[in-house]
Amino acid sequence: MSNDGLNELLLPLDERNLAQVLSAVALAGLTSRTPGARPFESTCWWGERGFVLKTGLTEVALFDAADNFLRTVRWIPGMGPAEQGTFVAGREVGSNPFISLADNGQENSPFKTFSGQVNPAKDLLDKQRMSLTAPSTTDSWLFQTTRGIASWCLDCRVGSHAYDQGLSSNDEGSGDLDPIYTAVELLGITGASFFTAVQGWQLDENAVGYSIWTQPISLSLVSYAVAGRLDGIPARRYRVSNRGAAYGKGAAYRFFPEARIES
Amino acid sequence: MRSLPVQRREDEEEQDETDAETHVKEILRRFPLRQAELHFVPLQDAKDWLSSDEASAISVAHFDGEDWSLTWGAEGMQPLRPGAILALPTLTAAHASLDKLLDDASGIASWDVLDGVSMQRSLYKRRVVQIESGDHRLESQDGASRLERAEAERRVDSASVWASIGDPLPDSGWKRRLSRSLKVGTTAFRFEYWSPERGGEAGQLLEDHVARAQEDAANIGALLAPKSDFLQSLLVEAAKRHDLGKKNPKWQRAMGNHDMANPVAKPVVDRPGAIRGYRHEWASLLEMHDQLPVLPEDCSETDRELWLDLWRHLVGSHHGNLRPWLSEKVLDAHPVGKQRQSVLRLESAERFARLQRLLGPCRLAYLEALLKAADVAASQTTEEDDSDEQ
Repeated sequence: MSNDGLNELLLPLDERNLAQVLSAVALAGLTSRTPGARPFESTCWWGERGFVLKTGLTEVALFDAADNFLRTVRWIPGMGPAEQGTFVAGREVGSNPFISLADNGQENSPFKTFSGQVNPAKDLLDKQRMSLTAPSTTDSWLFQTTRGIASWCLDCRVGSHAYDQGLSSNDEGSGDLDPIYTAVELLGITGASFFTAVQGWQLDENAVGYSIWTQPISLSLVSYAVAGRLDGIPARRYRVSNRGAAYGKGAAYRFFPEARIES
Repeated sequence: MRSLPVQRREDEEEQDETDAETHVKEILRRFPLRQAELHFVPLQDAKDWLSSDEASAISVAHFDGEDWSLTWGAEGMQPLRPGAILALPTLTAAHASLDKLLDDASGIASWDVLDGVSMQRSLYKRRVVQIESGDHRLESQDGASRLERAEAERRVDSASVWASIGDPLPDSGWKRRLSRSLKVGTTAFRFEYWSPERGGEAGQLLEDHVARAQEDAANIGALLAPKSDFLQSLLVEAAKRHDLGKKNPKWQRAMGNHDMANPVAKPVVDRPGAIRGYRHEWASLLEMHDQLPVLPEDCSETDRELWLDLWRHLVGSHHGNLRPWLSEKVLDAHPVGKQRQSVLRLESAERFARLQRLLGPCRLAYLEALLKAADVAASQTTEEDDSDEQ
């Protein structure tokens, strides 16, 4: 099918940043379910300067669709810890990225970066969603920031400065000053919950791996491509382990630094 | 399974010095326990029993999901995980706590399992032969190759043969695949494993198989949706083309057939040759690409596109591949140009994703299963036999 006449949107996302890779997956997924995007003709790939989406949508329309979706996302808690809840968006039920499928479920998921004291809805999702600014009122919806709200810790730009010095931003007293990238936070976690099976990305207790494909592919293949399941499609393979810096392996709060390329 | 011999006997049949543990592991790997031979016990109960004094005196074979290992009780055993399998000697039947754990330990019979519970024919048969007298004997009444300690007055002084598996082995059509002699106590037994001989069956001709598959597909379609020309024609047309790739001389030769005028649908040799990545269903799809099937009448353009998508997908996925991808190795094994294959592979993957979205994963899997059912019924084989196909 020809995709002439589609818009080529360049989104300056960083392929080494797990949250931004998941955001790209979410944006591709949202495009594929938007009729005006001409989804069957749309393609996407990673270029030198970011993620490229060739679609019938304009950037504003894409961000509008994303903003609308993110505002419908809710966390439904289970009876116990975060592993038992799930994300929903309207009538759609997402998967729970905090469940580990490795080692018969006996390992923890590296995506659960927060302690048991953190309520995913009250402390993270609801606050982030409330602070999200609509695309019509900002030129830089994708990279909007806010302060005083915790992060899912998938974004390597968030919180690492304090951890790398051996103390958390709570201890440092700068927690309220740490910025988070609200749209990327929300896109990242919804990308992990609704648009790809991140449980399959797990490499070990702390590490995940993903692939960055550099050839245009149909949007319907994104979840396979990012998981590295399309043998023969040109791709760069990344690995990233979460860490709690000076708090060692047992740290309750962890974060994902920049991923390193493997091949 | 409850019959694990623990010592190996040296005899003229096996001159190598391989130890008993290696033999037991080989048997378990090559002739896996059947589902119905297993007792399902809670993980913690199994762990508790393994750490008991009773278990420390018993040799236990442990399958951790990847390989078998032999230990005495829990000592040296990898941590027990959900889904692990433990195989214990039948000699342990008299142990009280194990009996409690297994609940029905006194009545285990495996012959019915080995004969195949729901299969059209047995996957394998086991026969145990006592070849030397000693302090153990074979109790074969229940067909479970049960070994027990013999009381002095009941010891068998001369070698005797006990066919332990229910029905006697048929005179022909079965071949002994493995024979290992092992010693239990001071008694030597020979453990034989038999499976059907492929060469003993008439190899099914491809033409016959495809005709039967079409017939079965038509029956399935008529039963499930008598008024749906769409479904019936879809299944019949997919069945007609599903094995086109088997005509390839490379595939035929690997299956043991050298008569290219009469291609076969199934291997006619015990061990089909390797064809390094060749997939007959991919070859079918490559060949189908330029063909136009008989489409259902009065089909709208949208239905026509859906029908063609499903037709190609059902053929390409009837062995579970192309859902959504094929490896480079497969492409390398086919004579069609790599670039063209890459394009068709991408199209196939997109088609799979498109159909999944349109129909939902369960409905698509259901349609895949209908063609598969017609294929298996026409083959008169089991799914496990089918896995030999390439």
